Amino acid sequence: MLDRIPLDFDKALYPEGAPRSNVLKFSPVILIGGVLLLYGAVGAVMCLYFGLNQTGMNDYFPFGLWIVFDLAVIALGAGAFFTGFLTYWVNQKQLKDVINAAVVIGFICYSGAVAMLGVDIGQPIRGWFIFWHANIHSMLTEVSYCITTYLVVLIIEFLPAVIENRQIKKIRENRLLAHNFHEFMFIFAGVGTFLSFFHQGSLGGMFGVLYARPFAFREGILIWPWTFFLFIWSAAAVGPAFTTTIVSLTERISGRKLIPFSVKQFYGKICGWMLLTYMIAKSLDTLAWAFSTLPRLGLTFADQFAGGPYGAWLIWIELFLFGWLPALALVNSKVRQNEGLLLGAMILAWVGVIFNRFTFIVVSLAIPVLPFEKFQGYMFTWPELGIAVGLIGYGIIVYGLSYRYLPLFPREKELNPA
Amino acid sequence: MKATHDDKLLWGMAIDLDKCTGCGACSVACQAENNIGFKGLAGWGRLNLVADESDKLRSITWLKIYRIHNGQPFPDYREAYLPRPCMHCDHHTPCVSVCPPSATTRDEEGGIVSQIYTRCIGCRYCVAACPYHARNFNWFDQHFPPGSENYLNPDVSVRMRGVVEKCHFCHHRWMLARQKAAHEGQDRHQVTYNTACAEACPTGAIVFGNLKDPGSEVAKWSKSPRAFRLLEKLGTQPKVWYLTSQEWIRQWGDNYLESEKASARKG
Amino acid sequence: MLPFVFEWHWDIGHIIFFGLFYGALSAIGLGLTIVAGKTVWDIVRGRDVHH
Repeated sequence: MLDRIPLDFDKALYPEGAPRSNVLKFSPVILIGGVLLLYGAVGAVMCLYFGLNQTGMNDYFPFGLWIVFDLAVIALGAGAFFTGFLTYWVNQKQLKDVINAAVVIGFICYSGAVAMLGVDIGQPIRGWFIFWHANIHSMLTEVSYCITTYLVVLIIEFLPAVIENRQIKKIRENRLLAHNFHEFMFIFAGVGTFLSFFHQGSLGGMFGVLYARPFAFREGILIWPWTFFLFIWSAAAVGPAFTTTIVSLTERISGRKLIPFSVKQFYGKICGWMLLTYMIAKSLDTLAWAFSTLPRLGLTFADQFAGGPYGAWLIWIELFLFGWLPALALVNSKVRQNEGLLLGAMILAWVGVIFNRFTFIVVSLAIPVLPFEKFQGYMFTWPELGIAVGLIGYGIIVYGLSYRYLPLFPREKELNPA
Repeated sequence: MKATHDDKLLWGMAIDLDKCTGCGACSVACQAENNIGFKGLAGWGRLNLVADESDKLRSITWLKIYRIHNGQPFPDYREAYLPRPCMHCDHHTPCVSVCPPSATTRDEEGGIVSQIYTRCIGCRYCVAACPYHARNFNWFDQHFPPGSENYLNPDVSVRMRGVVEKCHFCHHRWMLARQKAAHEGQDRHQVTYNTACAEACPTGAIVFGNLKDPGSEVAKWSKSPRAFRLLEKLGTQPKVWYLTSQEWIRQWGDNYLESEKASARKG
Repeated sequence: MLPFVFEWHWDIGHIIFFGLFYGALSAIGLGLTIVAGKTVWDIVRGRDVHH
């Protein structure tokens, strides 16, 4: 009986003029995503039921894999706000070819991060206290408010793509709703940019304000440490790079061209110049920290890398291999003309930001401040890893289904003549 | 957040390291006074797996005793014990400024850095912010062996898992002293009290009191030439002073550049 | 979060923080109201769009 069910039984849901592989060929996306998500669910249940002792965190490592993941995915999801800003407020209309994908990726990153945080805090049911009893002086309060509000914005930005599913838009009212969302999307993109500026910054600010943890601490201006600005800048620089990587991966898997190469090049140019200016600022900041801030606290640069596996190589790799190298490559138009080099440089860029977030979180905590305290190590446990991996599985499923059924790429039909 | 405004009352502590023998009575008294339990059988107990209390990185110890030494070989080897409660930092308290739901605060009157267990959401940002590692997170539910619940202090709440806790200078004893004073018609703003650790110390190495009262032991000790504070350079303004006549201990109290060490060393 | 909650003080920090927060929420609300309103208006006027 099964052989009477056609393998393209869901074709009524495909976007117009966009063939999709049959269900059997698509099933690995759901299966792999599903297995990862199941692993995540097991990890989450264990941590919620048995407590956070199921993780590898301890009093010396109150933040671990999950916080690294949270900061990393939020930085990578910055393609959503930045593309929205460039499209609707800087009039870069060619980015309309890629903005839907950027929004889906952003939605996955932010909703996943919020879910992960729900498991990370010791009292998830009390999570709303951050809003109700807000300490406005805390950077984490700022982060929470902005991320939650921005997630609402992302849902709103995602809605039109869902409404424009071929079957859903057959209804006139739905078509009109989607049309009006597009007309006034600049409002949401503007609010999204504003909120993103603050939460990307506050995520950096969270660590920069820790004046009692010299590794993380930075001077700054008014209430904002320099990390506030460095984190916004780096997130905006690499968000589009991550979006391009995911879209390119989709093209490779589907065998279809989804966005014009010129859009990737444009993204690459923006990423390059933003990364270059960021690297100048970041390098200056590192020097100021090493030669001014640390000595004032009785420490040297070498002191900060004297324990365990977290040596100064972390800084060199982050600044040079994942920073200056892709920055200088991407500002070079010849590099941008070669798709392989363009993508390679972009991947180095966003991996660099993950490195940066990791260093700020894990190494900050590893380095003792009291001279008689010891360096401590940290390694995550399997339930802990599950939740991080579950986020990836969730992303694969949501993105996969969005690609399959929603008109994410307006130029898809034109770029793939039959 | 500026320093505590009260110019009459500032609770503080002084610990004379020349007198401390490392006996641990202070730490034990603190555990008993403040209902600090053991790691609960984390659900897996149903499978008869017991939480490892020797894993000190996840144990709750409000008053931790460090053993430090000067790194010299015999016969110049010297060792000392350093009890470390919460410092109750007075300037821009690192943990207070970062807590999102305002679950920790520095009292305007007295300067004690308190913790509201029922408000704490367990985000552990304060644990990351504290350079003294004075804060403990309840990774496990607390477990009191059968019978030991009879010894619980009724004036101190017990905590469930998922919240942060730390030394609060036996704040409940202050509240009791104020109640007693009010009951007896005395001025409740003039009360003094003693913390469990200071009370238990057999050598009298720990004193507790009002740093703003020039007649108090703690105020006198804090002004001693032997006095220093941990990580003074950070600018946290701790309200716990340490006293020592040994320069090598003082060197362990903060981070010093090589050039600073050379000039600080006396002979 | 709201003026009657214990932590609220009418100081510059709260005014700026919540001013911006409620401003952002208002902008979102306004945007949604405009979209919903215009959509209803278009439906009533018999408009259509074709993609």
